Amino acid sequence: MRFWLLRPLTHLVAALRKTSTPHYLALGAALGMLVGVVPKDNLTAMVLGMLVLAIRNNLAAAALSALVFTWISPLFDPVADALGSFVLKLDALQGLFAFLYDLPLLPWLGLNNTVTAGSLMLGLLFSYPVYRMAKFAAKRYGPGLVARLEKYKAWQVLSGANLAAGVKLK
Amino acid sequence: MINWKYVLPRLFVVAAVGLFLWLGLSPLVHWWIVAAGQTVTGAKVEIKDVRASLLTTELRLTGVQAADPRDPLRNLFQADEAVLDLDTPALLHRKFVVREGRISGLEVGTQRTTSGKLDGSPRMIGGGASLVDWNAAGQQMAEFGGRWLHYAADTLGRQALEELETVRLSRELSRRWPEEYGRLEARADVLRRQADELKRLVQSPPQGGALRNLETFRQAAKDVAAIEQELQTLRDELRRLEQQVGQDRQALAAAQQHDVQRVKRALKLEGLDPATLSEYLLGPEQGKRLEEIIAWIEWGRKYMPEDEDDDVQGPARRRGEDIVFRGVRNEPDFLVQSLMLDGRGRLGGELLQFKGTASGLTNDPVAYGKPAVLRVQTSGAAQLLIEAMLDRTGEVPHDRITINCPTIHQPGRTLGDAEKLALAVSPGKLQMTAVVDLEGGYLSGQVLLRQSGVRLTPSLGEKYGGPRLAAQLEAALAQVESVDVAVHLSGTLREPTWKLQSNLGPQLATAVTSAFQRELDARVQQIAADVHSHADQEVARFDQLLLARQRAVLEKLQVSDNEVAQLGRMVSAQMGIPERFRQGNLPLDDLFRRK
Repeated sequence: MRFWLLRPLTHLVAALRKTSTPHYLALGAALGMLVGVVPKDNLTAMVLGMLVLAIRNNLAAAALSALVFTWISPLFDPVADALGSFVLKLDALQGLFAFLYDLPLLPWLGLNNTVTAGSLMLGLLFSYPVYRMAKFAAKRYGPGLVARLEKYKAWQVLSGANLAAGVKLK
Repeated sequence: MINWKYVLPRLFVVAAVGLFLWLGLSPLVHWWIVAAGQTVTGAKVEIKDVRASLLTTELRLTGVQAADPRDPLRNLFQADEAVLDLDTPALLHRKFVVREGRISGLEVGTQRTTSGKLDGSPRMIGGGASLVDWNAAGQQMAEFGGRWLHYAADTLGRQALEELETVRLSRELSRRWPEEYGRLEARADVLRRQADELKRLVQSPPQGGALRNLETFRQAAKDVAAIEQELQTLRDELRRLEQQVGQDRQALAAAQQHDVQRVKRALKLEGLDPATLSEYLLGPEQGKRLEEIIAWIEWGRKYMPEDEDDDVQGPARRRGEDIVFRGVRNEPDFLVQSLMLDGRGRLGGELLQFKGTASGLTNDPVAYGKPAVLRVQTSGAAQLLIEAMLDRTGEVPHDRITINCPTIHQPGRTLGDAEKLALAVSPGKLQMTAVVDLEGGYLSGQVLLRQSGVRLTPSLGEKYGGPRLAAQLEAALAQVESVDVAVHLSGTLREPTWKLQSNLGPQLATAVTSAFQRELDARVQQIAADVHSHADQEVARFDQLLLARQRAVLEKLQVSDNEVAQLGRMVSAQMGIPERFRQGNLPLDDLFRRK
């Protein structure tokens, strides 16, 4: 039970230890960013959360990324608001938006809100660059970081816990 | 082959989300309603249990109580149970529409065992006093009416006798005439002393013979002549004084007449304005009544949003702007289409049951396009029909409260001030109709009341006539069987004006005015009689005094006359000349000079 509770952290440790998983780590970071920047009072955030769970990626990296971007996302609100406002008020798309908004459940997505729509667009726009940067960082700095972290007892414990948890799962 | 290592954790998370929705929905809704309610009222909102079902889209709340922000130990309302049936299609479109609802066991203004003040929230939303102190306005009305009573009491209690001309003049004469006669007496005494000295001189002339004393006698003859002249002057003065006494008596009689007229003028009572008297008696009571009605309107205004920005559905404001796409009908996010109400309450100490409906409660009245309407009908001791319409659909908020009360038991009460003029009204049945309309800031409306089968018992403070006048008033009011009151409202909510009319005012004003007037007439008669009596007494005393002093002066003058005549004869004898020559018929100086 104790190991199970630590599992998200051991996932992250495992991801950093294994240089063969930068793709999943970067994917988790990008998806986490997407979840993080979108306001949470709507169904969009929940759908994105489900998406993170559904796609194979590093959940710990996704959670960490979501946490960080949730914290800093209000800083992007003015940009998101302007972008969302511009798109949602486009004359050409009014009919489409009205049709979609009239569909059951879709209003719960909250995409008629300028900040929600703008944040989602910003998130989608920056998800690939974030993925690329995270992948680069994982490849370049992952091993060095692990070597440094190996000196810390907590890291050793988590690594051990991972091993133990791995043994138990098997 | 299924990769369980991958699928199981995700299934587990999905199951956790489902479990959260199943188990956590009710607590979440509970939190949301409490938070929203507290934001709106500014005081504690407590709900014992919340059951929310996604399948039936029904919300069931039990043990609901919302504290009164104006009084933390009192509830704004409490309800045993509230069942809200949410419209499912609307819910799928993110609209909370209560198609039908029922709130049962609703009670307003119940006591709380714990404080309803929110922790760390000194601000009491919706609290505070009304914009206008209607009770004070009623008291002010009473003051206007009370002034007449003050004036009447002052007039009644005025001590006019001391200020009268008759009294002043008689006092002046009482002081002046003794002085005048005293002066005459003193002059008569001086003459007498001079005559005595001359007499002694003539009886015992200095040694040296007649010729030697001739000069002395000659001077004595001159002095005698001077004394005789002074005696004549005194007699003339006495005659003048007698004439003056007659004039003063006439002046006293004129002052007496003048005083009676003056008293009549001073004790004339100005007519009492019936409206003023109505306001004096009924102003405070009606002020309280209006204050209650207006307080409810103000309360409604505080909690009813005027536009979409005044969103009351949640504690946290959403980021950004919600765009309404062209072609999509703008509908309110929160709407109560129909809500059945039943509950109980107390009015004037009597327990009432009530039933009613509320409709059109929404966060966006403009989008909804219909006003919020509340209809409540009570049963029990008082049968009231209350209809409140709160319209925020236009540019200007428009509120209207209509209260219709065909019958309500009105306990006995006392109107006015027991120390001035009070009217005890016996218990009876009261009918009331009130319509108060507030469009923007402009106030209009009227409150009509009729209490039938009443018996009015007036009472007056001692200064204002006491039981004797009160008995006269009671007799005059014996035929009054009902009290009708009409209050007309106008002005603005910040500066309202209200006019009060009642049948009580004119009837009581007539009775009060005539009773006070009768009292004043009696007082005028009394003062006139006092004036006459005083003047008569003063004149009689004055006459006696004058007679005595005049007699004394005359006696003194008479004595002096005789003595001076005798003295003249003695001087003539001493001088050896006939009396007629001494009296000036013979010029003695020339006679001696020729010798």
